[in-house]
Amino acid sequence: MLRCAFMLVLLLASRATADELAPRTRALLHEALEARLTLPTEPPSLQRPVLPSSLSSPNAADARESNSAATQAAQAAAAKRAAQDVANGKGHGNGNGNDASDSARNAAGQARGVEARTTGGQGASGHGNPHGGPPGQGNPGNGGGKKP
Amino acid sequence: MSPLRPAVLALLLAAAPPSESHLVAGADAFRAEAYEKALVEFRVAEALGSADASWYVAASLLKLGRAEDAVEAFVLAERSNRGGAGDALLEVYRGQACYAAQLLVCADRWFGSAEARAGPRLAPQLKALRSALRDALRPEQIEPAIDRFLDRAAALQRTRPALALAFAEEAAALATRSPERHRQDEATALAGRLVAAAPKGGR
Repeated sequence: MLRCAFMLVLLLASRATADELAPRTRALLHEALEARLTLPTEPPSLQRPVLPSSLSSPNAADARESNSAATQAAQAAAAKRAAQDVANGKGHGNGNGNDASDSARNAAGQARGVEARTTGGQGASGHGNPHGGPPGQGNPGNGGGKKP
Repeated sequence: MSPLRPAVLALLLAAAPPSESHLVAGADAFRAEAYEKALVEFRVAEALGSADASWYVAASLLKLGRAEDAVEAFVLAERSNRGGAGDALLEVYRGQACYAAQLLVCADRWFGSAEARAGPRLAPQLKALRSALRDALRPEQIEPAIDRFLDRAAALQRTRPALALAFAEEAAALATRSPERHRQDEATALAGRLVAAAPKGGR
């Protein structure tokens, strides 16, 4: 009887914190961000960005389109996998019926749709990513953590 | 073992939020520099109700070179008033998004906030970046930048009000550094309208 009560308390406590990240997940997220942190190296400027002439050529436009198509394909594949995982009950272990699966399928579909709409439109915005350096480059390895 | 125990353990496992596995998958992908996949996983986690996923969506957008989208996503994450608010590392990413979108006052704000809590390796780098940002705010470039940001804010205020707010706030901040207070009232008023129109506590 006592054991059952203990399990019930544990279950309720677990449910109560379901909206919060598990410490391990939070740590994983933090480590991932920290591992890929690269500070900008190019000097800041207020001046309107000027597209390099190479980006204005027809070949560059073709390359952008090709890149956009590849990006959309990659996102579609990832979204499909995510939706399938949830639909198959993988990775969640929630076993609580169809709600989560439906939500995840919808979410993956929405994510795919949103990304498909937005990807490519940004390619010519002139805001390249100055942060995509090689792995580990410029990783300061600190600076994280919550405010006390 | 009591026959009840496996059932209770199964129930305990079931208590894990459904977004958790997508956050973990997103973190793994981010770490592996598969930012497209990370973005999708974080978006799914966000749609499943994760309180934190929005911040990591923004970080992934930055890594994909979508600086303005990242700025907007950070505004929305902050507006939802949940999750990673106050995380110094996320503030560095947010500062980088502003930096890449040429919102230099915004970048200085977030780098400054993170610098105060950064460790001994990161703090000097942030300090140097902030110094470069101050040097870049040249008086002769401020007024054209204000005009540009106000134009962008006006164009985006209906379709992407969160991004428009970032531009309007930048214009207002720059206007305080302009000797003529160039379009300061206009920028402040637009930012105020966009703040007032923003949904409270949600997207």
